[in-house]
Amino acid sequence: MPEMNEAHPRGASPDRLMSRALLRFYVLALICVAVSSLAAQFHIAILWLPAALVALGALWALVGIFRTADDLQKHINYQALAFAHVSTLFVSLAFGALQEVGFRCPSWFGVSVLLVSLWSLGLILFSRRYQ
Amino acid sequence: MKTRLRVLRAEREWSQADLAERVGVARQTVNAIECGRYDPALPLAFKIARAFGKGIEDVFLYDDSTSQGGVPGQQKLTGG
Repeated sequence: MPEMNEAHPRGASPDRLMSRALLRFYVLALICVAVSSLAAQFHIAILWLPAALVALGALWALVGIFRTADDLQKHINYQALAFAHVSTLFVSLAFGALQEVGFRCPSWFGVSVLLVSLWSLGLILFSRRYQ
Repeated sequence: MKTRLRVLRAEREWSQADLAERVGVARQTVNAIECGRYDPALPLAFKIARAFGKGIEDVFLYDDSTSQGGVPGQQKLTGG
């Protein structure tokens, strides 16, 4: 039997730790989007505080993803983040240009949702490269 | 970079999962290194070499022809 590794002394494999961290992030991000949407749609100001707290939790979960990731998982994450940021930049520039010629501007919340969606897409695409 | 991971694993009858558990990485990482799709960072390369009880150069073989940069002294001179 292999000896217990140094990086994860509690015995949980990096795969499992990463899956848990990703799940934690997505659940918190989803709750944040839902609460923010309720607050914006029905103008319930009191809901912005829990939304902000959940957003902080999601940010902490994102940090957790990088802390639990091994070398290759970090590498994939950096590539996915770069892909998401550059893509979001181009999409937001395109929307800005469309707005200049009279199109209706989507909500600012859309930017964060787009960023997370593109990051997730990047994770899938770049993971496939190393399989 | 070429590696002797597959050979060294076979000698010890370790699976990729066994090696991954020993060095604290995912099995996918071991597979990517073994297939030459990913070059590990130095700390991980040392961990892998130590898991086999070998030096880093006994496990990882640097190949000039597959590297992007190469050694400056070995580059062809152009012009002048």
